[in-house]
Order: sequence, then structure tokens, then C-alpha cells
Amino acid sequence: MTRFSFLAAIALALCSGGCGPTFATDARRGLITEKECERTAYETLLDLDKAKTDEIWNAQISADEKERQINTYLALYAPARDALRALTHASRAVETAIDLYEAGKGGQVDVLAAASTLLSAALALRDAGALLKFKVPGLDVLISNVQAFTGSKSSTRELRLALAEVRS
Amino acid sequence: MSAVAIIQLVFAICMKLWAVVQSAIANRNLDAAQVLDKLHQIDAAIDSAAADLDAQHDAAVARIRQQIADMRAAQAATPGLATPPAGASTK
Repeated sequence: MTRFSFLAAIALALCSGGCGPTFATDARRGLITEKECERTAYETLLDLDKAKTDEIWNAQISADEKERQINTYLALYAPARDALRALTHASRAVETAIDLYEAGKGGQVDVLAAASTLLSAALALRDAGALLKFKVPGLDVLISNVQAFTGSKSSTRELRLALAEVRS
Repeated sequence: MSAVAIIQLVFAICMKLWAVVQSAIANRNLDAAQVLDKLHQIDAAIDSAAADLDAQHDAAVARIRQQIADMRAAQAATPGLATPPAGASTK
């Protein structure tokens, strides 16, 4: 009887482990939400860029004034575009960290460190976007989600310490 | 209940549990695969959106720069509309 109980216990453990969401899949699910926001950000910036450049093109103003306006716009557009590019780069880095974790070549802390960089990139995009009056739909929610992800997953003391070490 | 019956019952329970485990693993893998697939689809959509943005922006800025150059060329070619030399009186 003892042997059968043992087998049943293993089966139950396997079942409960199998049914629960894995860290990699959990992280990827979060990343899907982030990437949907990222795609919306590109589409929103495209609409904004089209509207702004059309406005400058159609404006009945002198060449000098037109040049001043396009240069002013570019000075605001470039940081927003760079921040968006950095966000994409950061989210790809999270993807790679998850792949490495799954392949046994990286730890959860590497995924958290990459997610932390992603959070910084999202905050930078919010700041750069504000100057351009470029409001990314869902960005605030995304920032909260990433903060929640890094917060909940680094709830153990060991993970927090390891993450602090990576950040420093 | 005889010992054989108990063994059979426990074995049947284990088989059912194993079937549940296999099903759970299969579902989890399918779910993970679907998540991965969705991630790749969004990555492709982001690359496409980024390329569209760069193409639109570069073309629009080039068009405006050309418009400015054309305006200046037209201004220079029209007598009386040319920009006065620096320091010249506008009165």
C-alpha cells in the first residue's frame, strides 16, 4: 500500500505542477500585453507624425518659418522615437532572457533584470512622449503591470538581493 | 475487500491520475506554444509598424525639406522678392 500511495503522491505532485503556470509562460503572457502596447505606440506615433508633418507641409508660411517648425518638431520627435526603439530593444532582451531561462542557461533574476530595464525604457518613453504630446495608449497600465511583475516575482529575499546586485 | 481488489483499485486510480497528468502536460504545452506563437506574431507586427513609421517619417521630412528648398529657389528667382543682404535697410 505504501508504494501505491507514493505513486499517487508523485502523480498528484506532477499534476499540480503541470497545471500551474510556469514562470516562462507567465512572463511571456506579460510580454504579450507589453508588446501589444508597443505596437499601439508605433501606430499612434505614426498617426501623430503624419498629422504634424502634413500640418507643416500645408502651412502657408515662409521657408524660414517652415524650417524652424520642422526642426522644432524633429527635436521632439527624435527622443520619442529613440525611446520607443529602446523599449522594443528592451522587450526583445526580456524575450531572450526568458528563452535562456527556459533552456536552463539563465535564471529568473536575469529575466527580472531585463524586465527592470524594460520598465526604465517604458518610463523614458512616457517622459519623451509627454514633450511631444504623444500619449501612448495603455502605457501607464503597462508600467503598472511590469512593476507588479518585477515586484511579485522578486518577493523572496534571495531574488530581491540578487536583483539588487544585478542592478548595481 | 481483498488485497488484490485494493491493489486493482489503487492501480486504477493511479492510471486515471496519470491520464490527468498527461492531459495537463499536453494542455500546458499547447498553451505555452500558443503564447509563443502569439509573441512571434506581435514581434512581426511591431517590426512592420516600426518600418512603416520610419518610411513615413523619412519621406515626409524629405518632402518638407524639398518644399523649403523649392520655396527658397523660387524666392531667389523672383526679382524683388529676394532676401535683402544682411544689414540692408528694409525701409
